[in-house]
Amino acid sequence: MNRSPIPLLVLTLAPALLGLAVFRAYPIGLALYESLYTTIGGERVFAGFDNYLMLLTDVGFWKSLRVTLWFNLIINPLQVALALALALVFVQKLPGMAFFRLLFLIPIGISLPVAVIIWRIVLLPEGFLNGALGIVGLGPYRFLTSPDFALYSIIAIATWKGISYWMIFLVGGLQNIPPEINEAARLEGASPWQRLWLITLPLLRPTLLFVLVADITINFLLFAPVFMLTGGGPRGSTNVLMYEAYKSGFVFGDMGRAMAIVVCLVALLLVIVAIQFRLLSSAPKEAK
Amino acid sequence: MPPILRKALIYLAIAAVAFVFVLPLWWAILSSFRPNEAIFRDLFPFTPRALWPEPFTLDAYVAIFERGFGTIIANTLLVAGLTTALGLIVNGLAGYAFALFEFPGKSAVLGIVVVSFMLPFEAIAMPLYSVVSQLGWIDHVAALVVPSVANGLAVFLFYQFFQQVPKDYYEAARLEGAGWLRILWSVYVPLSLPTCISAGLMLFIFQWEAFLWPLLAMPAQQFKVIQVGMAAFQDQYTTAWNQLFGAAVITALIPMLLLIPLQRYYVQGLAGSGIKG
Amino acid sequence: MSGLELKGLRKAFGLTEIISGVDLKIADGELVVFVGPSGCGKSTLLRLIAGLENVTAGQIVIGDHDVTKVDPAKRGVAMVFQSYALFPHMTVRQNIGFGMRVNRVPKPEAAARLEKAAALLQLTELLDRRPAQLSGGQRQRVAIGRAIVREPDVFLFDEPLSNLDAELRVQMRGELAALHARLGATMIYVTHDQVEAMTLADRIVVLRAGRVEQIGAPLDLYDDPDNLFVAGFLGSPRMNFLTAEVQPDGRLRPNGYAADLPSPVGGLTPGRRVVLGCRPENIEITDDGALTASVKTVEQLGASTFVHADCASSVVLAAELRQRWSLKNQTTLRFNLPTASTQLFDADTGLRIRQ
Repeated sequence: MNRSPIPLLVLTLAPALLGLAVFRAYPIGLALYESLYTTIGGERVFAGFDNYLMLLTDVGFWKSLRVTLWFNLIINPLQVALALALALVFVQKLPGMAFFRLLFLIPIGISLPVAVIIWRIVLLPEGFLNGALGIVGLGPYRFLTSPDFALYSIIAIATWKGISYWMIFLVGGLQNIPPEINEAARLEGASPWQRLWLITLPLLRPTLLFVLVADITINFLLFAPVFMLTGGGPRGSTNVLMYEAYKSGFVFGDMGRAMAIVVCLVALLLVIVAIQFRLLSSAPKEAK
Repeated sequence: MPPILRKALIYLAIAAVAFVFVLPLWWAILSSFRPNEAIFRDLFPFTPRALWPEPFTLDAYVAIFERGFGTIIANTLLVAGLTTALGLIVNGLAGYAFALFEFPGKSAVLGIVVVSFMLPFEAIAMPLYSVVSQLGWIDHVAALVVPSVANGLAVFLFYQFFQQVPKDYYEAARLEGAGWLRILWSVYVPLSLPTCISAGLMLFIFQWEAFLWPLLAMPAQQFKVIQVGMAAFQDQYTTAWNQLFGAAVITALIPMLLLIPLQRYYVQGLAGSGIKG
Repeated sequence: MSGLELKGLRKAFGLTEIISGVDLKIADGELVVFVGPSGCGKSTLLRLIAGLENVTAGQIVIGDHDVTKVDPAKRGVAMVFQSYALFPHMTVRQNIGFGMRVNRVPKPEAAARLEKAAALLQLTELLDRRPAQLSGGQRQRVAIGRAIVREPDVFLFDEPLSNLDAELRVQMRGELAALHARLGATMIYVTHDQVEAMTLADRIVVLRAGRVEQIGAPLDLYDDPDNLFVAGFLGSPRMNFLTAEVQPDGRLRPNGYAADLPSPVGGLTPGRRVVLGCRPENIEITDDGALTASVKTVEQLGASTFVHADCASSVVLAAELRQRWSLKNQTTLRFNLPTASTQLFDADTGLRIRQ
């Protein structure tokens, strides 16, 4: 491959790189910059680290952070585990599986707002789920308006919508494992359970890591269900940081605080992802 | 465990999962064909008739379109279609350049492109609002289309594909005297059709499902796209359940019509990016 | 160690039958090679024996036990896969010890068995490496090591040498033969390479389209094939075949020739169509030969010379000569098929016509 003329390179690369620079990279810089400003009486004033310092003593921020962390602590392991279980079923070669595979893929075609609307009505006190639970004498529950249930309802909806998507990546990873590897383990006398733990999961580790990291980044920034379902309530029980930032910037007009929250959120996300990578990708070396 | 019992258990588990996936949708679909006052009938106490669209009516759909849902669908198709077409050209060219040309700093630039798609759109939606308002695009269609055209994942998919096409094709075509555009158009584009489909689907669905960004970028709500339109619909007609379901069904239907015949490409594109990414 | 018996074995995937009734008895300690063109069902047969595929009909007996419905792990078989199927995330030691680990073999015994196998296969130095750090031949030995430590009744090899380069293949072939001699174990070996079959086997099973064509010791099959397929499959270049018609006097007239040849078999019905088979090394090129052919190519290999010539009926004749040969292309040569080393087949059924 020889070196190519500069005009050609510019022509082919410039549109995409320019787009990424202006609409991806620049906003990140801008967020950092704007988080150093505040708006007082319609005037933008340089505030240094005041926005961040104020967050430190801001009860609303800390409560929202707690909700975000608790939300992620539950939803990410749950989604990855369910997506893995689904992927393991998806790759089974059984008669009639083609039909079930199609059903498994259905939530991918459904956007989160659509899922939210459908589930909102399903979850109403007079809705379908309470009706079905009524058969066994349970309920009715206020799934969306009780502080005890609302966050978990959002988790359930996001999980219902999300796991098919993550399943696809895991199916790709599973299909990348040569079938003879499992056959060899089977001949050696490994039970299905042992094959899962000793062969499949270790070989799936890179894909699992990818899915976990990608899932965390999405869920840390989850917005639509909170916006549409609960508006952060009841009693702040679903007020995740992303929604708190949105309210700050677009409801209360404090862009500086909004940007500071987004920067904190992304920084926190990066730290968690970095820890994940360290923990999960160094494990095989220790196993030696 | 006897094999027959095991098989039965596996099928039972599969059916249960499929049930959970399908049931809410089924209820939504059939409810959209019921009159509004009949939505919650048959639930308390629960009877199997709750799973059948009866009494049957198309009122909900008629009402939705009377309320301008058709324009919203057209708007979204326009935005998603434009983004897909421009995105395929822009990202395809960049993927081609990364795969076939050598230039200093290539791997670093490629690395940044790859990292850029690991950061979700939501993370930059708010600062992006400032960028777009500096450009004066707030409440303008360009605000929805232009920022979404360049897509790191699409560049990566094309790069990955073009890279595994044997270099001999390029060199053979060069020896025949073909220029790079000719080579791209008559050799690489036809070969890359599956990648075009998976990248195109990705761009289209991304736009179809966009919610936070259109919400921020189009505050006047003159030009509504579907997800935002639906959410607004929900706020306005809180208890028009059958219409809400109807809007949700239509919103889900269009990407499904694309996904079901093309699911193979979508799945391959996604799964491939996960393994290598 | 024990023998193995297949009784009326059948395997169908949907409506397509891959194995159509195989009966076979393998003695204790025997090395049997399944050979045949691709798609003949040889790998499927091996996977049926291993238990990786379910039998449609018939029986598999290992030793005294009917294992037809027994779990693969409990059949007492070990398999070496074409791709070796080594676990990429485990070291050589963990790979070889995997079976003993999942079967909870006591640690001291497991270690002893592992050391023994490693020493036998010269893997002791490599025990802490991973498969990715090994050469092709070393991976092959690890796969064999994993089979050995299980101390199976029957070893199964599925084209184990096909991923190696030519030189290494010859070397590993020798090592496998030595291993068999040393362990004295029952082994079944699948290959499409007739040279591997000829050199390794105690007995060869030639398969075609899910059926056994012939079973026998390598040289017996070579010298005395039962049908055209076996005759043509073993030997390179393959046996020459000339279609001929039985004349009223019992002699044979090859298609396109005016000369008659004596028949190796008497009492044939005049007018019957037969195929004359003669191996390249048996063709006699002499000036008083009864048949003619036009030289197409001459390949000088040093020790031997291959002559390819066009016969009258557009059949290409191959002859292997011990002496060097200086004829140019296009020249006409005369040749004979020595009656004693010519075999006769029925042109319609392909079956051998014996006296």
